[in-house]
Amino acid sequence: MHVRELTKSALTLPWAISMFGVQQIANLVSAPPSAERMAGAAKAFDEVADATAEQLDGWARQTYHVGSGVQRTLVDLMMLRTPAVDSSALMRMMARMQSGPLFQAVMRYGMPPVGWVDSLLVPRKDAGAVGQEFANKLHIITLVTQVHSQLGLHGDAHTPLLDLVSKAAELETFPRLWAVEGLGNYIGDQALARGGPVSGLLTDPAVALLPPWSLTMLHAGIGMSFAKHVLNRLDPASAPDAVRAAIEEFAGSCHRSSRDGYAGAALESLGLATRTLYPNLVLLLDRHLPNVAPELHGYFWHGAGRAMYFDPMNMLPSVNAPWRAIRRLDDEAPHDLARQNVLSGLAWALTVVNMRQPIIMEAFLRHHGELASADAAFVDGVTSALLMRYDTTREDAHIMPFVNYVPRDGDPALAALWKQLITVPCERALTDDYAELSEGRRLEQLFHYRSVH
Amino acid sequence: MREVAKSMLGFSWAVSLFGFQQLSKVMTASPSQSPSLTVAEVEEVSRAVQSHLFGAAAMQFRAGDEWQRRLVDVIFDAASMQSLDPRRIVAALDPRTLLTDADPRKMVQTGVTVIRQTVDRAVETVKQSAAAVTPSTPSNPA
Repeated sequence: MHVRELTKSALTLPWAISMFGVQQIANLVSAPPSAERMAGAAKAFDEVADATAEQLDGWARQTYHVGSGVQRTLVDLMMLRTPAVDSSALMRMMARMQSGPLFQAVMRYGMPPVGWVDSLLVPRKDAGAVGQEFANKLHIITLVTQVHSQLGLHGDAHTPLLDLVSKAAELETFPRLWAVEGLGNYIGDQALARGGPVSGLLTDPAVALLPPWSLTMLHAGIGMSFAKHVLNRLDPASAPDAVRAAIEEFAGSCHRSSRDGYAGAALESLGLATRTLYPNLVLLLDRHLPNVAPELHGYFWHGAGRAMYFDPMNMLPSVNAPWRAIRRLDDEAPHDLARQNVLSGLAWALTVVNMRQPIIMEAFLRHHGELASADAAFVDGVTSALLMRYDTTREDAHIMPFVNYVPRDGDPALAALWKQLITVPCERALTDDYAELSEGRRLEQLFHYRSVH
Repeated sequence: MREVAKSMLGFSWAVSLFGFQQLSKVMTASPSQSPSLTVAEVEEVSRAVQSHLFGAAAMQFRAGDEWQRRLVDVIFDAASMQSLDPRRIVAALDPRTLLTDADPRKMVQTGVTVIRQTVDRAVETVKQSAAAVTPSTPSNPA
């Protein structure tokens, strides 16, 4: 019976599509031409395409979204127009695809040659540093997207969090950092999938024995999960009440699941998720945050700064040295609080990602030394990132060599700048600030701009 | 025109992928994939397309669809030896109802009109483009 029905349906569909095509073409070519008719035809094609895409799943849905984006860009280019790219949709599409084999293959085999060719556009003096920075970013994207397979995380498995953290502890120091953040994101997603208000994820007695080194990144991870959950409901036209409710829900979830002194690490992820996945919502949230959750405002922009560093548009070697993200600082940050936190977040990400190769920070200071020494937010970002690394993976062999690095450039001014902006503040942070923040249960302060140094 | 081109390509892309997906589902049918689910998916897309048909096109679609459904029933009944009554088969295959509802003269007329208008529009576009690139005759300074 099913085969018979399937045959009928399979014959009905092409017949309907043929009639639909003829009708739309007749409509389009009938005189006189009208913009209204064109818009009507485009709408009809879009509606049918959307209804069809709704029925696609797995690889077919991914392929549809990729192909659709590519063909729209190609049509724009053929008609000599700037492609209308919705970066929010593009980023969400990439986020959906990130665990798929296509995305992994592109990251592993497609992007490195692209980066190499692109680095030929960079002056020789900077090429090594920005090429390495590009490779580091790709490495991190690969690490973040492989967390599930690395730690054996599956939706139906119920491995205790303590065991998963022990598993992560076996990884090398650098992948461990991202694995633990991914783990936080995973337990957040699991809790949200169960429904109802989320609470106690990291305060429950069952997880009381979590090692202290895992706490900051676990908090950052659950924050990321909560942020994605509430942002999914918003769009630039959302009513003020909906935006306020989303912020309140996010802040509430973070506070209910965070330990004393760690909530900031979770709250910061709202800025990271918004600027990465929904850049068209950044200014909307900025307008409401001071009234709904003022304590979140600085964290939000710090996260946005981190996201700016990882923005795919700022990724290729040729848009760095000088760094495009720095050029866009004033355009993206609408006020002082935002600017300081964005710069701090950018410096934070730059330090964490490239600590193993100080030549990258050296190249950065060569181009932006003036800005870095003029604004305390840069030093804040570097020292906070260093303390976070020290707190989570203090046995890492790259921490002290980074602090005491002497630029190879041979320029005494650059060497003095390194000492002034990196060595001295980082040594002071390690000897004084860390103990104060750690013992005072205030490590969350590392996730926003602290004006006192 | 740009948006129409994008929408048409998007539509063709979605339909092609959908067809390919359904075909692979049927060819690699597993116990977890219910055939009725595949039917429901195809019907859903058909409904979306049909909701945009109106006037003569809607009537012609319905007539054609009913006829093909009767035809499929006859073929399946015959194949499963459920009905070998020749009168029923002839009645089901009788194209007169199809021809009455769908009116082939109208279909041909519509087709001819569409082709004529398409050619007219193409000629008009070429003329406009040619006029745009032809330099205007310089005016006599005297």
